[in-house]
Amino acid sequence: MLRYTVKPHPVTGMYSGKLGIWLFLASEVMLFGAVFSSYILLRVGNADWPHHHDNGLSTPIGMFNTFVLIGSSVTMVMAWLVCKEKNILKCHKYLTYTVALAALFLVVKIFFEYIPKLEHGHGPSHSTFFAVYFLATGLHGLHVLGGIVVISYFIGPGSKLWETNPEYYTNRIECTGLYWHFVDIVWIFLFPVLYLL
Amino acid sequence: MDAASPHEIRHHFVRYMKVFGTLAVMTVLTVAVSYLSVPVAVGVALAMVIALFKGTLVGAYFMHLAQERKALFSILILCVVLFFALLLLPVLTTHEMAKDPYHYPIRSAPATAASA
Repeated sequence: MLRYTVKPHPVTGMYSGKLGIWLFLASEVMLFGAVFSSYILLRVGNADWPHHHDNGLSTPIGMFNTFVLIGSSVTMVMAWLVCKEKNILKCHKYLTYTVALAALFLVVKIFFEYIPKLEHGHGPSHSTFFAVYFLATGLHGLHVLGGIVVISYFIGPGSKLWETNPEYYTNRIECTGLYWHFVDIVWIFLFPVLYLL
Repeated sequence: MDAASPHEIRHHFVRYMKVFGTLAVMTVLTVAVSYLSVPVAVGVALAMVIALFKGTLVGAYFMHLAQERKALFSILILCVVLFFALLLLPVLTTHEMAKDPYHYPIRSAPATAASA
């Protein structure tokens, strides 16, 4: 049985789940680090890299999605906060807002960006820029989808834990939040790199 | 884990909304900077400084790093060091490319064909 799921470990000063999620996020930094590294390598070696005004990406759409993800970070952290207040109904309300905003992000990404690009023949094979664009945003999009699945689980079947061990449930919401904010940070860097530089 | 009081919730909510407002303003600022007529290097530097500031805000307030235990920072410092190593090593180790990045792919293509 996993120990220190609620109380902090005497050595690390944090509960096991939090240490685990931070180690996972460290590995995620390496994953996205490889993508950013590839981007730099491909870009400095390519004299024909498109200028951001004519690379075919819509800055207003990218900016809108940035606001959506930042907003979802606020609702996620509020879900954890009201969980600490022992208000599970409000917690579920904020988690639902987070899932809705995450879904909105993906809908905009797919229907207003991916599909029009693919219809115009601007797929990953069109140019190095679009190969990097689809790889980076696709990987990020999969993380958003993963977040939707996890948060939905805690609204649905995972919420049974609240009845038996509310502190454990609150800690799980905090860990989910840490992952979600990391996904937000990745987008904060992807947006200027792909849309504005 | 201590339960949060309604007053504490209200206090945190106001703080999170202020962070949200700052992040929104910074996002608009990032877009505005991209329209400035500045050299590419300056534009990249400005955009990355703003992105770093936004990332720090999310980390400090939403991920509670401002109140986190010191043990966690050893993981994060190692992570940051490895991240920058990962970011820079491929560029630095590609010696020919570092000398003449713009012509590197053009020169290397015929050489590969000849050796084959």
